[in-house]
Amino acid sequence: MVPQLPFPKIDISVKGLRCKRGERTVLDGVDLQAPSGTFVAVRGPNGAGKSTFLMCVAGLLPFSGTVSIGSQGWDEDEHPINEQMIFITHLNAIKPELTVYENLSFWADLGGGARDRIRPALEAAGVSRLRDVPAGAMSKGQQRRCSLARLLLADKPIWLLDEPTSALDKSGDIWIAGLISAQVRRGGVVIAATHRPIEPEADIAMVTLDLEAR
Amino acid sequence: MQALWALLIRDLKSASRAGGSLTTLIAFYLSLGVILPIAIGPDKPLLASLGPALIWTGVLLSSLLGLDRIFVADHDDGSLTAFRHTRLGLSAISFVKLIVHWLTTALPLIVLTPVMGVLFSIDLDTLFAVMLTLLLGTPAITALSLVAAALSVSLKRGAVIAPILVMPLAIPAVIFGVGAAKPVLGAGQAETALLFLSAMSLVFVAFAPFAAALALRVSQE
Repeated sequence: MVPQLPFPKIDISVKGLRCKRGERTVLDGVDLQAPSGTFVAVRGPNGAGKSTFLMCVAGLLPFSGTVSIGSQGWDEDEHPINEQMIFITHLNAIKPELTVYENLSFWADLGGGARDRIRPALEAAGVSRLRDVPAGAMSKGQQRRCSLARLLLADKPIWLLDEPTSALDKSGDIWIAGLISAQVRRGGVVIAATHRPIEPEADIAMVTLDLEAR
Repeated sequence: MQALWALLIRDLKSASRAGGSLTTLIAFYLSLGVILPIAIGPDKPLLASLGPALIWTGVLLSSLLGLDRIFVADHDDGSLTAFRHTRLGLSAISFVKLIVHWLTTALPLIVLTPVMGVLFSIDLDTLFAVMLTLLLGTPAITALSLVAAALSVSLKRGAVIAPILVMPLAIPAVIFGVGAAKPVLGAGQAETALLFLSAMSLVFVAFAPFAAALALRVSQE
């Protein structure tokens, strides 16, 4: 395995976050304190703004309020993209015509060439047997595992996950819970929007952010 | 640099394996080469004199065929969002997409142009002139396509709208392209038109990635 050094301290704080999409106010006055080493579970019914919240923190949507990540803080409008995070959306970002290995090595190259991490990442994801299979030939769950394996390539302190366990089986849920626990123990911050509760290990600091349907 | 290279290789691989699109492109272009002479009728000198204009129109129309592919796949599978947290800027990504689109669309059309030359019965010198103008002019068309594809990426009917955005803007390229290939105003026209065409391509290629990046950023909101 790749050595797992602790991350430098990085805190996320959100104050009075307000975000409109089109004419509709999706988020209004959301606050969150997530110091280094916390798992944040974002919950709420469909349409409560879980994905919008993640996109605001990821710097992909304009908002009002404050979001600060580490020593950088922003208010109003778009904040710059923070390179210390990886955002896995509900889409997998996997090309069906390329093999599993080609897909992951592409993302590894984009993250700065950590090709030696691909093998352990595929093994951890339980798809190492399918290394040379076109990603389109895999099941939805296997594609999801392949996409989540990107978390292990990137080695970023902040993870933003949108429905990470969708399409995963029981063992996949356990794998994700283990990944999140390990990341939090290293001092990272994981923010995950979920319907199905993720159960990390008992000693992990966990914050629940409940969003209401509007 | 390594990341840009990785993107270029991945897109070319993905284009070559997805299959179908290159065949469609070739079939469409060559069908134009068959249909137009039939429509014009058995007048060889007329056909030959219209040749350069018809080939340029054929290339323009054919290159619009796969226009929506430039960004749609990456948008639909979430890659575009994932790119945002890598070191690559959206404009660098757009520049790579421009190169890929030119290599997979314009280049095959230019390579096939001698076949069109035979179908339109144009002479060898004119054929070379047409191919040269296509080589210099297609980057401008590809650059316009890039911006149109970025603007329409999140629209459901983007594939229909994008070509309509490109066509009026491609008029100058067609004027200078055909003008350089088939000078009618005497000596010097070909050279001037060729210079204008090259300048247009350089300017469009230089600005298009930034315009496309802006359009992509807005479309994600």
